[in-house]
Amino acid sequence: MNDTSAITFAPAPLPARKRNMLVGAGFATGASVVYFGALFGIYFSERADFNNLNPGGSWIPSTADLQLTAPSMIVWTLLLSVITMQWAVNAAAREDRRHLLMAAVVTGVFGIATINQMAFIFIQMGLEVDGGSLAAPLIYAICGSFIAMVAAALIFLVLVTLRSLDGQGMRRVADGMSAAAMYWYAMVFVYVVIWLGIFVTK
Amino acid sequence: MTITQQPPANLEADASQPEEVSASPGPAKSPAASAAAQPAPRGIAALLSTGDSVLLGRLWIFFGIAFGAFTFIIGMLLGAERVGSAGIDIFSGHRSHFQFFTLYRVCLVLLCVVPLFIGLATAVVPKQIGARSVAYPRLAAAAFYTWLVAACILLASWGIDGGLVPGGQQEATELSLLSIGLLAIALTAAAITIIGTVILQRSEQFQWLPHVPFFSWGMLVASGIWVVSFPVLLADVVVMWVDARGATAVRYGVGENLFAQIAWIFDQQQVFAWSLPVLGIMGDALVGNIRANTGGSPRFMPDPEYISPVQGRTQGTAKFVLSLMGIVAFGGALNGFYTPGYASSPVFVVAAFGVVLIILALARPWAQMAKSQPPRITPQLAIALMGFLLLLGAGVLASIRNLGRLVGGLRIFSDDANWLDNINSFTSPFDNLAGTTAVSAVLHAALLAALLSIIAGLYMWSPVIFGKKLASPVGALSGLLILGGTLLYCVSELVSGFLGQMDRPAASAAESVVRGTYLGSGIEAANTVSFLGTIAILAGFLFVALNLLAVLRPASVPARSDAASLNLSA
Repeated sequence: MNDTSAITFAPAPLPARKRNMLVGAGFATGASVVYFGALFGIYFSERADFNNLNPGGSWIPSTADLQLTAPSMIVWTLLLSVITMQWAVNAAAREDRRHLLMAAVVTGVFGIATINQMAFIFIQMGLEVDGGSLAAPLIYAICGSFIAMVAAALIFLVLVTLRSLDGQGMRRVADGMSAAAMYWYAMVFVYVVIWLGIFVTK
Repeated sequence: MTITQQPPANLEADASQPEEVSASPGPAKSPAASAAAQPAPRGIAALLSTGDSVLLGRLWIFFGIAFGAFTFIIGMLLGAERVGSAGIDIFSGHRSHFQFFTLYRVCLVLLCVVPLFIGLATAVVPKQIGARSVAYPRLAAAAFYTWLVAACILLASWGIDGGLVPGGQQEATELSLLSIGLLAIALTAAAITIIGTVILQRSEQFQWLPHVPFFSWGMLVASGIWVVSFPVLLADVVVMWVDARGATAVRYGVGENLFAQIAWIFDQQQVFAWSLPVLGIMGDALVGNIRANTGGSPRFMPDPEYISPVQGRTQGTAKFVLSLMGIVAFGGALNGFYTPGYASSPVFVVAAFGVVLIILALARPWAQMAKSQPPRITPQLAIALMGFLLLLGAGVLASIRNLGRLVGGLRIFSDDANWLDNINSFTSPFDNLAGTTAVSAVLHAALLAALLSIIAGLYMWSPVIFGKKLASPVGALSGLLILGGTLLYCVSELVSGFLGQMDRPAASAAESVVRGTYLGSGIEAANTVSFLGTIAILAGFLFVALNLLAVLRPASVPARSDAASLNLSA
């Protein structure tokens, strides 16, 4: 074989570019948003088909109780968490460990509260996944995936916060916190769509 | 063989990526120096903890080839089943036949073609763009091992009566769905790694991103499409799984509906997304062999010394056109289960013709390049060209499938009754191709084009990946066998599609009765030819597998440190 008998590679790379984590997290966030986009697409398409085939019928089964109070509370919780998350990003940029820790803990508490409220909604609505309703598996798939996303965002936040405590350079922590914040904001955006698309418009 | 690389400059060691540093030669110090003081892991521990892109690439390729061999054996059995009679001869029943049919399709995409591209990219792309390693070595390793575990779970779940079929064991079916979901997550992570590598790790020479070599560019575009395709697959699987978890599935988890919900990944346009890197490999094979014929080394990268400004512009045009392919190839929004009329949608029809136009548009600048500076004709270039032409053939098949709809759409512009009558009579055979084996023809043409390109890439870059050249005549023979087998298979599938043979086998005896026996002499002959095609494809693939096994023998695989020094040896 004589064609690739001499291969010369590219020259040496530049020093590592900054924002590695931010770029990676950006694509992971994009993939997560596409995932929820697909779920919403299925939900809205199935609901439209149901309403066309059953004029006057109820997409959400009458036995289920979808109240708006708890879902709206989650919206407010998450909106507050956006502020505290930005506080954490700002503290990381200023290399202020104390404020960073405070802001991250408060944001984490908001995240845990969100999971708690979602669990409450599941119990309150009493929607049976095998009760014959097309809506039930889709709502559980979307809301269950959302809880997984909150858990992933919390783990991301905890890992970045722990990094700030181990004496590493704050530049890397600032990048990591910006990446965690991007994922967090995407999570809040996804919930706003869930709130409007499932709980408000039913 | 001479493989040279300038040693990396004084690089800032990255504390978060110790694997990168330890795997890379050069004067990088600090964390690497302290890591060197510790004994390096050996054996299985070294494999499990590696972040070495070349080693990870080899692992992807090795298991992709192993699963691929398994896949093509199933493909041959499925082909044999259709020969001769309308009854079930090889499998234990209609359900078992359908079970293997779904396994074959899932394995072909998720365990063979896409992983092989990822393996090739993991090993080659960092070298092409002057990177020390992939951008996220730990993520790359996690992606590989998640994929491997998920692949084993998938095969096990099908083995215990699971799969995407009606009447399977519920727990096994749930396991199958779990494994497909895990595969989607792992392949998304691997795609993100490749994107990150091209964007973040390229050397100064490629400061302007489109200057990266064709394969790196093709993988960047393909990975971008994969990152938005796999989450859609994951969403489908999660909905199925949640419904299947209930005591009685309502719709999405019902056995009869399982395969239909993910069938879009085996249909146009998505099959073109899986095979998009074909274009990148073709580009690099051409550029490398042009350089080889003009007195220079067949470099991967653009080099003003060997590429004239005109060729630089034509390369830029080719990369732009290649990116357009990424736009038309996304099929995540074309799920026939939720949108039954998707095949008649203008997007679907126009995109099918768009693929042909894009491939032809891509051929033009490459032809110009080859005309101005003729390339050296090598087996690798020939195999890459076969893959490229086969992909064009897949586009033509997709266009034939949609010809009726295109002409039907054009009818609205004419009030001429005679013209309409003529058109109606012309397009009626094409109107009935939906759901027939014409779908299979498009799928196989596109994915086997991908396989041919992977083989071209393996033979072209084997010194980089394995530290040793693969036997070129074996590659040429494999390429010819796979090309010949694919032509036999696809043409006969298209013919049987026109004759009304359905793509999906009956899932049960009852469904078989409802469908009726459609076997005629024409279909029987076509099925026999397609079976011969599957044998040729399997034989070609096994030749490559055996050639790789010979190279991967422990004695011939350089140790990790040797692999690293390979990049520096003059």
